[in-house]
Amino acid sequence: MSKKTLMARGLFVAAYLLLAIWAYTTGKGYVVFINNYATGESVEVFVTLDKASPVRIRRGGFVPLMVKGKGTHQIMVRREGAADFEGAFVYPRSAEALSIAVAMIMPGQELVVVPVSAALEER
Amino acid sequence: MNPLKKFEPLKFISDNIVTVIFLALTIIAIPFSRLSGIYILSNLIDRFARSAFLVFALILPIMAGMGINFAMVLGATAGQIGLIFAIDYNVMGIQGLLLATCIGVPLSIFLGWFCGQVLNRARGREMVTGFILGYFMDGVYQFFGLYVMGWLIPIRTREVMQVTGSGVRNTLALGPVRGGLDNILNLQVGPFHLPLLTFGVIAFLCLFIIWFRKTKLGHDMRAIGQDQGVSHSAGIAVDRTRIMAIVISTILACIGQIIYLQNMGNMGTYTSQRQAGYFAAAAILVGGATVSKATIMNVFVGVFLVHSLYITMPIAGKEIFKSAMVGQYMSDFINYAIIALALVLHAWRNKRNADLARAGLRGHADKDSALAAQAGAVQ
Repeated sequence: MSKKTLMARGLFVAAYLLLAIWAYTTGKGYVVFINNYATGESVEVFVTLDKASPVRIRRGGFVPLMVKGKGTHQIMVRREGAADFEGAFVYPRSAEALSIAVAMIMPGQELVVVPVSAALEER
Repeated sequence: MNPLKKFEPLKFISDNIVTVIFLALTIIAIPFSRLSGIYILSNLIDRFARSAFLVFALILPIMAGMGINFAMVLGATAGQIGLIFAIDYNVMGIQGLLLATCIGVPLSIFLGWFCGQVLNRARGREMVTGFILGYFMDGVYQFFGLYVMGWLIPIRTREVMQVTGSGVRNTLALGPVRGGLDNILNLQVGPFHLPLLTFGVIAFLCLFIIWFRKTKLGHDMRAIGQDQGVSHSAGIAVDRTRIMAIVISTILACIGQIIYLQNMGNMGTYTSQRQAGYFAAAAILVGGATVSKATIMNVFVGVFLVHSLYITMPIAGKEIFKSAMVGQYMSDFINYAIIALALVLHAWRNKRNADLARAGLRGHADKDSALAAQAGAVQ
């Protein structure tokens, strides 16, 4: 096998591995727990993360949703009797899971995200 | 010369009997099913995007004279192993599919090479050997899925692991990668969803096959498909080329199975790969291919016809027999019967051609007198 062929094959293998690493790092899903625990007039809400379909969260309930990759993500919250909320949040690089309380989401204010332990929250 | 003058309807029907039977059954089933044309067409588009790639995997081995590659199950298995890892690592969307492909392709290269080696030792009985290899791989895969996964290879996701704490579940929800390819560039035209990227991938594969036929390797495969002895004498590395045909077919089956499953959205972990093999074989044969000749058009026609029957037959069965299950059984039965019929016809035609050639050597110049002489000899 000539040196050129060997190099071409090496480059191909490297590109292949890079593609796999890129797919893994950019496509890895991370969990976001969204809760609707608020007291008082809390009603059911519909939450949309990025381009996914809206998910209904009942009063007092929570759902684990997935986002692709860490970094900035879009969130939209629709609830009866209140203005729709559209905003963005940053998934911290160090976090393994996030918790977002719908009650803390107020139009015009920054969204509060709390890093949590995925195992703990699921329990 | 007018080409229409040479058209003989009976010969055409006899040459395409499998397609004609299937078409007739579908045409009969459509009015009984009472399904609207739009419903059937929209389902056909979706199902075509789902399974066309898988059927293309069969073209190259047929071209190389190895018949229907029932061992494509090995490639489908590799694709499923890739998907299990993508789901376990929780990689979503198109990236999940790419990761599954990156894991599945090296596996399918190895399995294709292994299969090619075995088939080279079973020359002339490739189809039945490939069939049995598929069963062999089933056992290996079950051992891998039920015992190795979770024991040697840790499973990190609860949704993937069996409740016993070891092994992969019998059915996996592919939520994170569902529609990973179909939902990119998805165009809505009236009632029809058109997954443009999936169609683009299928079109690219068609172009690849057209280009591949013109390459040196493609020519070699066709020559081997015609006559292995002559090809060997002409200096073609017959064994190596046959292995290449099987390896490429296995890789395509791996990618095809990933595309198929991302469209379905769930996976029968230990059964889906087998269904892929049967479906692809039935589709290409229904499309008019034989075990010695297949074209891209055969794939298109076959996929549309098989799915037309799959869509209409259960409903037609429900209307006729008042049971949807009867329709389902009938479409399954027809599918397997078609594979059997195509194989029997191929064997019969081979024998007939050999008899004709022999009769020709005895001095019966034209086909009719050769056949008459043959019939006389039998009496």
